[in-house]
Amino acid sequence: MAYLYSMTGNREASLDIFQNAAVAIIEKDGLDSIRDFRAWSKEVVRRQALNFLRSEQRHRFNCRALEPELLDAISDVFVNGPGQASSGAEFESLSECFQELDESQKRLIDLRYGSDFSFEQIARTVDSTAGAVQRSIARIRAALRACVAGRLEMGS
Amino acid sequence: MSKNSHESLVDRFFQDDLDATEQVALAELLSQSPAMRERFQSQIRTEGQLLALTARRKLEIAIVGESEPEGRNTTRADRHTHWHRWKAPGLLRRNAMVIATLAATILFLVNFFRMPSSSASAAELFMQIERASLQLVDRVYGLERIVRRDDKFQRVTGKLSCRGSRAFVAEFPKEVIGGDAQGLWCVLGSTKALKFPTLDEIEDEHVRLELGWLLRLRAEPPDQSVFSAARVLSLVRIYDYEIRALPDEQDATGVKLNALECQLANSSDLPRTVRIWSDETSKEIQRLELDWGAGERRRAADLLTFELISTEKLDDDRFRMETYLSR
Repeated sequence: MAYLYSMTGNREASLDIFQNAAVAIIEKDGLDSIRDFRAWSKEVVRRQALNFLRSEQRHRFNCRALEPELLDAISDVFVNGPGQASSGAEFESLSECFQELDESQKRLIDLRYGSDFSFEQIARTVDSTAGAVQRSIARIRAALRACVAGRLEMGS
Repeated sequence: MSKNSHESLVDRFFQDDLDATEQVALAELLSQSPAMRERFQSQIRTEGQLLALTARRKLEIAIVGESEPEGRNTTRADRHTHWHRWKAPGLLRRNAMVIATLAATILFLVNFFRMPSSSASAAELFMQIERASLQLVDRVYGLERIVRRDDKFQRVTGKLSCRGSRAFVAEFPKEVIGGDAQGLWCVLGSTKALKFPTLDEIEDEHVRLELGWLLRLRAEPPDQSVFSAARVLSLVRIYDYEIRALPDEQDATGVKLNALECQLANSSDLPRTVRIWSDETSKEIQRLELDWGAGERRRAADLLTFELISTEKLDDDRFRMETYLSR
């Protein structure tokens, strides 16, 4: 889902692609004969994502507009990368770091990631500008990442 | 390009801050640099974690709403059934009281600092209304369709019964339309039943036009067979309507209502304007208007309104196609 979100920038679109891929995988005959299931299923997801983003459907979800080269590069990273999943400790650290944000910062993250709001929509909601919202969210993300890295380092 | 600028290119992608040329540069960087690929993957993990975290926060708040269907004509046994139907994950189930108290406190503080309600964020209000609409309760709405044909107006009334967003039945004088997770059905004139109907199967042009609005709404992604107020709200969200707050109102019994207007610039077959009136306390939708506009072209419905009639528990037979055959 995280890779799909990085390609689309939209949670609903990512869910749609993910569900379509899941259906394709479930409906596949002869799953037993697939030697590397993980690689194969990643390829299914990749194709679903590329088909989706190259079709008219992406316009319905306000998806990110990516250059074809970057789309291919991201899907390549997804398929051929080591696929390091998030650890429970990482996620719990993020939750704790998130609690340290003030209410307005939490709200920005909720609106961006929880509600799929664009920067413009968030700006209207919080009575600001899209540019200011974009910069604020970038700072909050950087702060969360630094906080998580610090906690994991202390934990180890 | 220096290492710092490479890292900046990766990081700025996740801020939606790259132009076309920079995107191509990033693509080349990812194909050539294992270190930058690793940085990119780390950023993607952060994206995934933030998605999961915000989803969990929404779930925690939704559990408070699901477990307390207040103001409903339900028995204690019904509320118990609703709670078990939700099947919250183990950790949340064990800590449900703590989470419920925490979420209720957060909601109280948010509402307190948003007074008066006319200063409340329209988008936040929309979120609260959408959350309330997803509660697993039965609702009955009066439906009214005003249809414009060649400068003549026709008014058709009906009734919409919804079981959360799991099943619905819309009863009109000449046809009944229903749907659930298995698909959509319609009964025409109480003798002809169609399952998973398409417009082509319906021979009567008049009926085709009358059903067209519903079948078009159903066909919009994500494809669903259930028509409900929650479904309308999901379309508002998916198609990125502009939402603004209207002045608060009161209904005939003095209950205070919040009002929202949602506009879509390029509507094609969707309603151009959706107006929502909700109970200020419970956020339950009291009235919903779908306005397709002045009718520049033939449409099955130019104005469709829902008016909440009741939230009493309904018999399961209400949602079965067989119930409406040869009545």
